[in-house]
Amino acid sequence: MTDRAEADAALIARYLRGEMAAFEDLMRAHEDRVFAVCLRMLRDRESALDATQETFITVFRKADRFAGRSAFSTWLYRVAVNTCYDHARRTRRHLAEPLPEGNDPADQAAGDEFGAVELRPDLQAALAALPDEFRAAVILADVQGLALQTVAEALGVPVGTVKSRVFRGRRLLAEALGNLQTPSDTPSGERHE
Amino acid sequence: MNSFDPELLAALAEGSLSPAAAAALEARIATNPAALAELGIQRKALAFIRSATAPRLQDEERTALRAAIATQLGLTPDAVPRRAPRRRVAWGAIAVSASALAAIIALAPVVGLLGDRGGDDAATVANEATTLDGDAARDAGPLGAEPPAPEASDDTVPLLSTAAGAQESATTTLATAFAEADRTKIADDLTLLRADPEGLQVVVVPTDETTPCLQEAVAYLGNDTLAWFPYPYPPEEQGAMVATIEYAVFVLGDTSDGTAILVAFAPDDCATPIPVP
Repeated sequence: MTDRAEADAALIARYLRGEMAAFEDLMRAHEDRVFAVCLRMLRDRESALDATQETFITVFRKADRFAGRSAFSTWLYRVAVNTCYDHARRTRRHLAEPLPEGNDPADQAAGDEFGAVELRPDLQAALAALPDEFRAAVILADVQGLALQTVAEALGVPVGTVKSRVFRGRRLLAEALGNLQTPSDTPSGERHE
Repeated sequence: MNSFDPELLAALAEGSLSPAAAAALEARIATNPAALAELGIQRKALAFIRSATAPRLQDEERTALRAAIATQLGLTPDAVPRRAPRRRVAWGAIAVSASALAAIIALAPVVGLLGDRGGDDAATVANEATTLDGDAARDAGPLGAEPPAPEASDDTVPLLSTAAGAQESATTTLATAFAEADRTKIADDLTLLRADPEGLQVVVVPTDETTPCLQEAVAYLGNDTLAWFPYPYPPEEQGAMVATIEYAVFVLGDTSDGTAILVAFAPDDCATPIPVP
């Protein structure tokens, strides 16, 4: 078990004993990563905040059933991804509905999600083009830098499936990026471990 | 067929092979244009991905998020929720397109609360989260004092309450592993999914050797050009969860009579299909 996993297990125990500080520590340790996953999955900051909120509420409510036999973060990612799946499904249905009054897609402010996302628009659009399962695998493995075994546990699929999804996801991503310029002049990216 | 191992190429692209293994693989594919092209694709995608910076919460978002969560959990009564998550959209609200029904779709639930796959539990936990209605009073309670639901199994992370039959042995068929109400709910839900083929098409992926119940699905449906995706079975909007199920969805091509075939397999033995009219 990693130091982080051990620390999380201890924090969960403290949280269950009623220590508010443990709640704050767990949030501090994981909220940015969960939000990052949700934002990349959903592309919309407000939706990502919703999904992040739902994820943590779910996890804290079920904290008493966390047995500590796998990393807390793995469970957290698992809940986050499934919450995002659910949001994405709902969003796809909303897309078939008329836009609310005042939401003009030509409005720059209304469509200014890419800047907030902090991902390059071309990459974000390419990620969005991936099927959910591929996107989740690529985001967790390549963007978040999680180990394949962790991704497999988080997604609830075998490691082989993760490898396949990552491989094919990258290929689809490259196809979606098409003739875009290579990122030779871009800064090095942050890579979580 | 590829004349190279995609997984090895992916590992080479991401730099996770040992120097010796990487050198050996590079030498082996040096005269393989297809492999070199694939390696280039993988590296290009990775380069773009790694060029991205990690998004972070803004300070006010962080504060509001913690306050909202704490309020929902009853930890800080004075905190103001950022806002309640939206409620789940009911399947029944989805318009049924007559033309869309021409698609032939077969669905199979394959992953329940499997005895050795604790991570699956979180799928339903996640779905349960989406049903939150922002009623802090209902959710409030002593810190960590939520009554524990029955343990699902000896999972890695046993989190959920389960259907009555979900704790049956691994060899139990779906006919006995889930209550009749669950079977009816599965059928109803799959029927609604069938009415949303466009949504399915967005998320389905081709089958591969890891697809659960694939052999049985091929045999049952008489078609080997299937696609699938694991679909979390939505819990009830209110009250306790009644089941923890994920579907594997098999999608067939169009047929002449335009009928849809839906079938749900027992997750443990893939031998007991639930036909959906």
